[in-house]
Amino acid sequence: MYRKLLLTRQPNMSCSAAVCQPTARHQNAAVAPPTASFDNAVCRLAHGGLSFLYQSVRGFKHALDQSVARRQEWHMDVPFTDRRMEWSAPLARATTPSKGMLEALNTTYLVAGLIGVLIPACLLSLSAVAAGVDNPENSPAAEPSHDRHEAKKIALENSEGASVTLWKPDLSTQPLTIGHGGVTIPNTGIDNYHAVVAEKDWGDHKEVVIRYEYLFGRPSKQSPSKLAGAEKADFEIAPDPIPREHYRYHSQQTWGFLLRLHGRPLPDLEVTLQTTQGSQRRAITDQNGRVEFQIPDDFPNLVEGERDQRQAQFTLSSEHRQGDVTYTTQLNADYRVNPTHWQSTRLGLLVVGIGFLAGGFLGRVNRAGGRQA
Amino acid sequence: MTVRFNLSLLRKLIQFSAFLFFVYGGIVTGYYLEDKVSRALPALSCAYDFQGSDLCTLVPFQHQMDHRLGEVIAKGGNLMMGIMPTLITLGTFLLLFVVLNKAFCGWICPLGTFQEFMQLIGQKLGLQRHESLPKALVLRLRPVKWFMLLVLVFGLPLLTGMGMLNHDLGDPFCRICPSRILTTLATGETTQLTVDTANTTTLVMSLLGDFLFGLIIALALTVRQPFCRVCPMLALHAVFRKLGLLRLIKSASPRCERCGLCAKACPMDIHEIHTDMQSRNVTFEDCTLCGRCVEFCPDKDVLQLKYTVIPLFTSSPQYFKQRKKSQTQWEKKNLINGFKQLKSKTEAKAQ
Repeated sequence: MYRKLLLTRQPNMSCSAAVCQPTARHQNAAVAPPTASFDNAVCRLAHGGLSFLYQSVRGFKHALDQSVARRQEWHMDVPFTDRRMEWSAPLARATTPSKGMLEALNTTYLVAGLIGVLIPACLLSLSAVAAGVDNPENSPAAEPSHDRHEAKKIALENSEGASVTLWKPDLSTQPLTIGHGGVTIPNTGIDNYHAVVAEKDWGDHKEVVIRYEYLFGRPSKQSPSKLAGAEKADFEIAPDPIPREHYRYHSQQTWGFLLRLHGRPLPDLEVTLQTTQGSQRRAITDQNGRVEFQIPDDFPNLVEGERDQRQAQFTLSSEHRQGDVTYTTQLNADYRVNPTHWQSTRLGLLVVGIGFLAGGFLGRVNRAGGRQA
Repeated sequence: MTVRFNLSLLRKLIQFSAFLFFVYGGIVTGYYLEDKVSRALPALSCAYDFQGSDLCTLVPFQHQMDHRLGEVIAKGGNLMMGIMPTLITLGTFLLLFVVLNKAFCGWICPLGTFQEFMQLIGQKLGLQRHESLPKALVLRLRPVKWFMLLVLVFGLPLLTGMGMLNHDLGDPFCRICPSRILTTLATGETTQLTVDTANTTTLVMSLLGDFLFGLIIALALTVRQPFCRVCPMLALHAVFRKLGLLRLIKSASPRCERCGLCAKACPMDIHEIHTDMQSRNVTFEDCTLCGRCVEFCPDKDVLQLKYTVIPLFTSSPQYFKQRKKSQTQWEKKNLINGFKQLKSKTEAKAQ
């Protein structure tokens, strides 16, 4: 009986870092207060001042985002109503007039004095960070160091009869052994993208699942375009391009993919994108076998203005029949919450404007000084 | 060279070409970091610009302090393995640096080009441009670039790698570098022009970066090369400036002490070009080898841009006269003077 080959990335069990796990805060959408376990008086002062600054700017960004969020229409193919319900909780809370608006008001006054506090704030921030008084999720004390060179585990369901190959950046290959419901990608010692290719041949049905993993080590001196462009299987979905080294897929971003059969592009073929959060989208390849998808912004309980390091997976899949043989292919990858949820361009422009005014003022003072001289 | 075609014009053409290449050249060289030309460019070509053709050497330095050397020190590994990537990057940097020396700042750097462009706008708008900043201010600003290099490029990333600071301070200079915002904006990308409320560190650094960008734009309208004066790349260049094949050579004459036109022409306000009567190699630590001092030196062969022993450009009275004349004509043509002329013409007609 045909059972679909499924590839998923397992979190490394040795890592218990807060950043690797979806926190209870995001599940409950409740903000935990920052810890204050430090004794140094200077750091205490720094923490107080910076918390005020941090909360105020975040509140201001939140208030700005609300007006846009109300107008925003979500274009999702599937469960639209569910998604809206997921989103409604944090948005409804944000519209309560008390906290957000007060924080916004605080910030309005604060922005006027921003220039004066910016440099001391930076200096105090460094001492505060060193003392571990920052956001507890990001403080060094809360986050054990990651061993970026450790082996990665990938779960592979229905893997009976499948073969798995690891493609290195220089296109050399290494067979991987399936065991305990998955494969372990060894540390190759080479820095760059590697491709894990799982293949299964049912006779009249050939199945391929590909996943690109970034491994750390010495420089590979190979462009990832070489790996993405190589023919690794009969029928494959290749990223066009892969996120650049040290970057990732993020929700709301649009990425391109190429469908190739025996190395040749396949036009007019339906491709499905499915995420582990339950979203699904479909698109048809163009004449060059290329298709573009916007990755859904489908993480539940997002808190605007607050960093969220959760990740989920999306799978692109397609099927093609040639003669008596049916080919199916999947591309599996992780994606993260888009940073625009906690990075505000409007506030950035405002601060650039303040800087510009400050520069103009300084220039004027200098001109006056120059004339006197 | 003629009045119409002078060294400054040649430099601007090269700067413009370099700007196009380093900001948009990724279309030719490739999208990935591995496709970039050297990955240790001695100029502020930003890694955040996905369409760029190369990236500045300060990026790998910070990265290596954070992820290599810092980790090795913290975990007690082989120190040589930790420092080797930095040495390789430094070697690549030096290979390039030897060829052009500090001219990477004055002829290649995209941020330097942008500041000169802003200066041009300021001049044409009729905003009074300072020929020189006060000497005391220049002297006070000089140590800032060393602070930027030692603390932001090497110090904080190293401490981050050692686990003493949080991950967001792994690349502190990049977070405040105006080139990051400039080059990404030049490619239509607004993701770097943000206030990041992820935590206090990102908030402070993003506020500082955005504020500095606005400040530099406004200052560049009236002050020459405001960011170059505090740029850590200038400090890094200063360390190795004796190795460069391109040099600024001075054969002091008795008139030098009274003249001082070279120092007035210098966009970095290096007064020592005029006052130093002893040194032959006057490629000072703040020098960007732009060659303006040579252009505006009225004496024959006193200042020279030399490539090893070959003189590339030499000061001469004839060139000086032509250059001075063209500069005066150029500076007269601005918006305020245009309005004044228009007003006087109208008044004359009315009378």
